[in-house]
Amino acid sequence: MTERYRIPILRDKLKVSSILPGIVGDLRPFSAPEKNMIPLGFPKKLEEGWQQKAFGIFKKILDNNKALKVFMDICVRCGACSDKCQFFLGSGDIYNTPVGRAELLRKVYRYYFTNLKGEPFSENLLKKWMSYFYQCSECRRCAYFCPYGIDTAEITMAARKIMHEIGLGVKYITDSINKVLTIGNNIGLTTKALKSTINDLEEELKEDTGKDIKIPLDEVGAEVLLVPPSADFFAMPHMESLIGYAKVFYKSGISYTVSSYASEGANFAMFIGDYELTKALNKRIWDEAKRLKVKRVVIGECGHAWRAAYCYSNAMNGPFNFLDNHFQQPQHICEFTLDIMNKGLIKLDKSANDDKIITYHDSCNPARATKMGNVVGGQFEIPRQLLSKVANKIVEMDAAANRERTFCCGAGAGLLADEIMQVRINGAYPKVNAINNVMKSHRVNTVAMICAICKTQFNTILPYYGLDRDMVVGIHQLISNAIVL
Amino acid sequence: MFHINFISFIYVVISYITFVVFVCGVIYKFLIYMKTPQFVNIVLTPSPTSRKGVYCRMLSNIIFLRTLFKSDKFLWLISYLFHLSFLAILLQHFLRHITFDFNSAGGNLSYFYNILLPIGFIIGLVVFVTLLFLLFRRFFIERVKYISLFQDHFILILLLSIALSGLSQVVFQPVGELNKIMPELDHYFNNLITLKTSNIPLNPYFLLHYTLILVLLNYLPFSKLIHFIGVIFAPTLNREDNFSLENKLGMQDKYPTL
Ligand code: SF4
Ligand code: SF4
Ligand code: SF4
Repeated sequence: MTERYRIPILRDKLKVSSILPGIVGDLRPFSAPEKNMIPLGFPKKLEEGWQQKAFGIFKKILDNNKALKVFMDICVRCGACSDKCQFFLGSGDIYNTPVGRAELLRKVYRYYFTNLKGEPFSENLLKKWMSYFYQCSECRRCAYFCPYGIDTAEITMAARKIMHEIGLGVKYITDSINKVLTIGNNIGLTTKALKSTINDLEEELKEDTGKDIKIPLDEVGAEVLLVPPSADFFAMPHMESLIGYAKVFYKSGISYTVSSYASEGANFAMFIGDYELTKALNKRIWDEAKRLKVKRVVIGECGHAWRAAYCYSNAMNGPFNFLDNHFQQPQHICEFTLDIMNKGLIKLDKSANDDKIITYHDSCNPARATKMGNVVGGQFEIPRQLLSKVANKIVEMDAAANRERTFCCGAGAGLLADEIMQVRINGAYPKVNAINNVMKSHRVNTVAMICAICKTQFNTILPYYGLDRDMVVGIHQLISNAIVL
Repeated sequence: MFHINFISFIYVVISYITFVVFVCGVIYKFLIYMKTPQFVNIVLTPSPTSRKGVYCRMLSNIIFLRTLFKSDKFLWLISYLFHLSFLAILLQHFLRHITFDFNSAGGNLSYFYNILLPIGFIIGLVVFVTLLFLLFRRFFIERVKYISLFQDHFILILLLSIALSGLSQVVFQPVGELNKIMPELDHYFNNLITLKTSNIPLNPYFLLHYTLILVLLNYLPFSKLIHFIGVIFAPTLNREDNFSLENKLGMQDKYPTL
C-alpha cells in the first residue's frame, strides 16, 4: 500500500525537502453529487454566470466578517508564516504556505475590490482553489505566528463557502452535514442502530467489570447531556473513550444521557464557513439540552466540537441560560472528569497503564481556539493533569511541535476523506516526526489525544510511516483502564 | 497664488491633494475595519480574559513585534530596526524643522540643531541598510522569493529611493548648498501648513526626495502598508475570551444569513 504514495522521510530535525510550486496541485477531494448539494440549498453544479454569483457571495462575506476584511488587506508577505504550515512542510508546495494559500483568494479580492493588480475568477483558478483550500486543516498555526494574527483558516473558510455557493461542493463534507441534519450524526447512525450499539457496549461492560454501567439514551430529566463525536459510538479506538466516560459517570453518581437527536458534537458546516448551517447544527445541541431539561452540557473528546460549542454557541444560538447557574457554558469532558477526580469520587490505579510510555498530542482546535475549565491554559493543563493521575510514565513532545505551537494531525476541517490520503500523509508529517522522535529517545509507545479526527487520522496514517497504529488512544481510554470500580 | 513659480505651484497643489488622499484614505479604512461586524469570537491562544489583557497583548505586539519574535528571529531584528529607525527619522525631520524655526530668528543656529543633522544621517543609513536587507530577503530566501509580489518590491524600492535621495542631500552636495536651501525649505513648509504659499527650493535631490514621499503617501492607504491600522482590528488579537460578554452582546439576534 505504501508505494502508491510519497511518504516524507522522518528525521531528527524537520526539513523541507525541496520547494516546488504546484507539485501537489492535482490532489483534490471528490466533489459533492447533486443529491448532497440540493438539500443544503446550494446549486447542484457550476452554472452559467457563476462568476457574478461568486463575486456577490464574496462581497457579502467581506461585509459581515471583520476578520476576512482586515486579513485581505494587511498581509505584508513577510513570510514569517511560510514555514509554519504542516501541509507545506510535508509537501514543499509554495501554495501550501499560509500566505501562498491566502494569495489564491487575495488576488481575486484585489481584482474586484481594489486598484491593485489581481486576477478575476476563472475555471482554472477554481481548480487551484479546489486543491489548495482542501489542503488546509484550519488549524490556525499560521495565525499564531503571524505578526498581525492573520488567520488563514478564516480565509480557507471563506473560499470554501464561495465554492459551495456556486455549486462546487465536497462529497465528504456535505455527506456529513446532510446526515446530521436528517439523522443526527455524521455517519448516519439511526436511533435504532444507536440503541443496539449502546446495548452491546453495556453488555460488554457488564462482562468485563461485572457492574451495571449504563449509557442512557434520550432520558428526559438527566443532569448532564453528554455530546460525544459520533465516532465514539462505532469507531476504534474511540469507543474505548466512550466506555471511559461511562465509567466516570457511573462513579460520579451524576445522572447523564446521550441523545439520538444531538448524537454529534462535530460541526462540519464550520469547515466550509457556512454561518447558517453551522448555526443549524449547533442549535440541535442547544434544543436538545432544553428538551431533555438537563442542567449542563458536556462535550466529548473532539477537537473542533469543543470549539464549536465553546466559541460559537453563544454568538449563534444565544447563551445556554436555561442550564444550571454554574454551568452556563458547555463543559469539556476532561474538565468534568478532573472535577470528579479532585472531589475524590474515583479511585485510580495508575499501575494499570504501566505497560505504556505515553506522550500527549495537543489537538489544534482546543490548543489555539479555546480555553478549558474556564482557566487560561486549561486546554493544556487539564488533560495533562488527568494523564498524570492515571499513568506513571509520561513524556512531553518537543515544545515546538506541541502545546500552542502544536502541529495538526493533518486531517482536520474535512480532510479525513480517503481520496486525499496523500494530502493527509503530507499534513501528518511534522507531527508524526515529533512522535517518532520521542519514540526513539524515550521509547514512547502510546500517543494520547482528545480529538476524534486525530484518532482516526493517526490510526490510518501511522502505518504509512512504518509506525504502529495501536499507539493511538483517547485520554478517557487510559482513565477507563485505571478506574477501580 | 501667482507670486510663485510654476513648479512650486504644481507642488503646492499636489501636496494638498496628497494630504487629503492620505488622511481620508486612512480614516476611511479605519472606519471600514471598525464597522465590519465580527460575529463569532475567533480569539487566538494565549487569549486574554479581560479588556486590560487585550490592551497588553496588543501593545506588546505593536511595540515589540512580539509575535514576529516568536516566529522568525532574524526577520524580527531587521524589521524592528527598520521600524524604529523609520520612526526616529520622522522625529528627526520634525525636530530639525522646529529647532531651525526657533533658532533662525536669532540669526545663528544652536548646537542642538547642528547635531541633529549627523544624527539624522546615521539613522537614515540604518533605514537604508535594513531596507536593503528586507529587499535581499525577497530575492535570496527561496520561500520568500516565491511569495513576493510586484507590490512588495515596489514598496521597498520606493522606500529605498526615498532614503537614498534624502541621504544624498548630505552626501552628494557641499554642506553649503544644504544650508542655502534650508531657509527656503522651512519657509515653504510653514506656509504650506498655514495655507499660504511660497516657492519650493529647486534643489534636485530635495525635489526627488519630496516627490517620492508624495507618491508614497498617496499609495499608502490602498496598499499593504495599511497594516499599521489593520493590526488593531485583527479579531484574533483584539478580543477577549469571555463568554458572558458574548451573551451581553446579543450577537445571535443580528446574526447574518450568509
Ligand atoms: S506571517 Fe502574516 S503577514 Fe507575514 S506573510 Fe504570513 S500571513 Fe502575511
Ligand atoms: S493548515 Fe493550518 S497552518 Fe496551514 S494554512 Fe491552514 S490554518 Fe494555516
Ligand atoms: S483533527 Fe485534531 S489536530 Fe486535526 S484539526 Fe481537528 S483538532 Fe486539529
